[in-house]
Amino acid sequence: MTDALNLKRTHTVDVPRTRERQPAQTEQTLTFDMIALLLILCIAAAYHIQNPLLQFETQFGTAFRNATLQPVIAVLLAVGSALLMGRPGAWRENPLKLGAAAVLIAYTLYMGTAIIGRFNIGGALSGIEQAVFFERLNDASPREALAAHAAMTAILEWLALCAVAVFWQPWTRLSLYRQVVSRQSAPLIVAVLVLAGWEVLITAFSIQEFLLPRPSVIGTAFAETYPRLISAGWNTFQNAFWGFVVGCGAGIVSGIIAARFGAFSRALLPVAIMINAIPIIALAPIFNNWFGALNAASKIAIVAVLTYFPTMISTVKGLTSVDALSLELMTSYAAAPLETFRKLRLPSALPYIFSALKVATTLSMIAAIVSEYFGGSTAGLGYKIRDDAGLFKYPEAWASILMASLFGILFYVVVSAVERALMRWHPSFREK
Amino acid sequence: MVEPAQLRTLILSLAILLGGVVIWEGAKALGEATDYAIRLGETTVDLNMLTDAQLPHIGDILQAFAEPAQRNGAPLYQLLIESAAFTLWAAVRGFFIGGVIGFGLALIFAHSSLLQRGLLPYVVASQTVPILAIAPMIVIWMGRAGNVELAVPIIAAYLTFFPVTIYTLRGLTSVPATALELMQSYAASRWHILLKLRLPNALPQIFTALKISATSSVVGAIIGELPSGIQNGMGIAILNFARYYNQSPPRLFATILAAGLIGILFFAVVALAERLVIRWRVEASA
Amino acid sequence: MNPIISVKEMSKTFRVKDGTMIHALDTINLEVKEGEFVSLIGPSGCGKSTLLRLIADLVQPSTGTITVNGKTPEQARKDRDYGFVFQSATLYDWRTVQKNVELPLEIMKYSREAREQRAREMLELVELQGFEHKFPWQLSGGMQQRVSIARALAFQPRILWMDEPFGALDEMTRERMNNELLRIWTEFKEMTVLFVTHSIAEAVYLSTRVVVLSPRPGRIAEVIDVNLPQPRGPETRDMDDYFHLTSRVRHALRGHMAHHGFDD
Repeated sequence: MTDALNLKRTHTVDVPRTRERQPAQTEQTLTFDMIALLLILCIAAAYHIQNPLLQFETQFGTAFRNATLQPVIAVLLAVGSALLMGRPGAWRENPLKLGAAAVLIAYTLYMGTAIIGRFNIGGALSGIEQAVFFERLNDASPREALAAHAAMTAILEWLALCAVAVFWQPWTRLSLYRQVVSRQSAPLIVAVLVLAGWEVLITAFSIQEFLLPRPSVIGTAFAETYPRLISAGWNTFQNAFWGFVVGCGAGIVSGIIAARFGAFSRALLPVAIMINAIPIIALAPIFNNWFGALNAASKIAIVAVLTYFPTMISTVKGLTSVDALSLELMTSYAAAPLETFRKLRLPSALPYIFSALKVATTLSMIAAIVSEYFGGSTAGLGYKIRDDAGLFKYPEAWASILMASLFGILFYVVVSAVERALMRWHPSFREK
Repeated sequence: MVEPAQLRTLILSLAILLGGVVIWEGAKALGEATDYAIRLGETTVDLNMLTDAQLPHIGDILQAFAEPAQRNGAPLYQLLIESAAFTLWAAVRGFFIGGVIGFGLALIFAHSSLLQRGLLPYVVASQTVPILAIAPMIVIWMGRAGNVELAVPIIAAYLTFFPVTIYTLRGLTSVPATALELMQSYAASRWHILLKLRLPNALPQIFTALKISATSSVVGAIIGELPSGIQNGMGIAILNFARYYNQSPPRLFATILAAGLIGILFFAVVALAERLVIRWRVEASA
Repeated sequence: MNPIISVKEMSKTFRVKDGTMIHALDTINLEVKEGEFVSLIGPSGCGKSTLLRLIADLVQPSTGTITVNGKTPEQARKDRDYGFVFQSATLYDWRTVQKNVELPLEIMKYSREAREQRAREMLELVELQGFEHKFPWQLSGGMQQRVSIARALAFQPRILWMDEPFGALDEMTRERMNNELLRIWTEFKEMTVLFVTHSIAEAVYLSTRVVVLSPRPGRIAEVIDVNLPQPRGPETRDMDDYFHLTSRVRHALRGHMAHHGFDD
């Protein structure tokens, strides 16, 4: 999304700018809140996954019974707990935190063995056969025993949530939240105004739902179907992610190779820019024919081709538009080409590469959704949106669109975080 | 005047394109020679992707342009020219709508930091919304408004306005501090500073954005046609030939090639306009 | 004693993009002995930077020969006989001050301990201790230029090329930097410095010899020996000899300006 949010004026002043950064601290602590929230979600999701009574049948298969999403949630649960608890030295003396840590570790182990190890300890203790946990419910299922077992695990779940509160202590961080809200007041006010205006206008002019549902209706649809939406979004996101990896990976590697040969890269760029002007999405039917519409490879290929060219073009531009004096410096050291590449070209190309990668994140999610329109798996978000709109289930369709954006934004945020970690030196991260 | 270095680059570019054609046809020849499977000891590499049904000869694709698209109908190129004109017209209208909106937003953001802080995050977030998903709703809205015709341009505009906003804003705000002080020393009004300093300073950035937008407006028009129920246009042609792919694969390839040509054409027109407008820049724009 | 730098009958012509040829330097003959501090001075566009780049093997001569330390410039560059300080500090944004100074040492395969120790010594030399872990943008222009001098000196080159290193600094900073450079030059015995500048005062204050170049095509107009006593300090600037020498350089420059006008 280009460097959309870095629109600062640059000017050089001949005074030492050694001011310490204060906002850095706030950003860091807000990360902690994000971890806590994510952990709460994972605790609830894990409880859902291992409880057969909470699995409801949907058109897309059983909610949360998503073979690739489940282990991710289990791993996030473990990583989140570890990050939230921090080093044992900080809480070993505190009996409350010690207990909370024990609960969190126990819950993580319990859910880890249930989800990844496919062995439900609680079930084994209450004498329920393991197979019951991993099959769909049928008439022979011991529903009462499962309900009793679910009640027991629910207690553990609530204990785990309390443990999170013990470590998180959001009530001690109110001043931080106030700070954040006042800093972000403008977008927040806009959001509230737009949502309220939307709600009021649609009610006032009694606009029909198929034209534009009220935000509250969309919100309800979202809340009711979010497990399905997450599952469908995850399926689509996987295509986006692997396409992103293949396309951007190939783009960076071939960009590096092309930039190695100056004359070649100058001739390649116009060709690449020309190919980039082709609506890649039009290739979807051909890829469906090549890889089979039901094969994820056909979707991954679309995403890969779509992200390849911008990444390649940016990589070549970044590697070739290096400051001339910096290059002369390397020449004066008689540095080997590989060394010049590692120590000069690559670091100065990083901003270019990352701005391409950030564009590629949202592009890949959109491409993965659009590719589903040309046929293929019915488990993805693109198919769901099309299907819901076709059946005039507009609130559901809007809820799916919301989920699609959330996945896109999340992907963007993760890549931005990687960029931030790798480029602390860059001007856009200097002053806040 | 063409300099020798530029000519060399041009020739090399054409050589790269030719290399692509050679690789394409070479792969086809390899497939034919090995009967679409290579045996390496125990494992067999399946080369079915190279059969005529999956990857037609380039000659066949070119020939498909001249052959009738339907039995006893007009030749394909005629149909494609009509569709391309339809889509290009929608893309151009979308390009203008999006360009004006994008430029207007950038002007507003450049002059009010409050509005910029309040709205810019949503402008950025808007691009994470899959446009294809809201395309059917836009078609319905425009149908209600009595102007279905405008649905596709609006969808194209949705993809177009974003780069224009971002790049124009960056161009308007990245004015050197000294140049701004010079204007202030003349007691120039806001309007004068905008007209004489900020806009010329932003022009290269604006053209970079317009080149991106030219491409994405074509993509937007094609995507917008898919759910719109409109019966002509490149998007519909692609859908149709994809449906009857088994009857004649080269037709779909020819259609996609034509779609690519529209994108390249629009891009080239904007790039040409850039050359005519920005004469003071020595270097080619990034 | 053999000269460490010797330039014989050297000319340089550039081809500009539109095909015209520019005659930048014409039959340059120059010899520099080891341990000398030689300044190249001339009006802008006279090719003084080009001369430096030619000797440093960053540009190739059209005719003539150059010998550096008894070798070709290319061999001298590959043997890492010299360090280069540019007009701008040219620090790498992504490296801390310490890491910037270590850059040439990394390329020359010094061990990690040797690198860190040498970088610390060099930063001490340019009085930047305590700034090791800052990034370049956190320093002022003068401090940045000091880092780039520390970087050039880090591998103890026998020769130092300096291309208007203090051109962008204010007068006060510039005088301080001049004193520091002299101090460093005295500490690094036997180090030869070739210094490009457009400041007459700076050239006379620093050098043992001043080479005055005439405008395009650049020719050596006059070579002026500077016999001011060593070590030099602020009091040097008040000496009669100093005034005398600066006006000699000024006259040498002006003489050629009168012939050629300000047409460059």
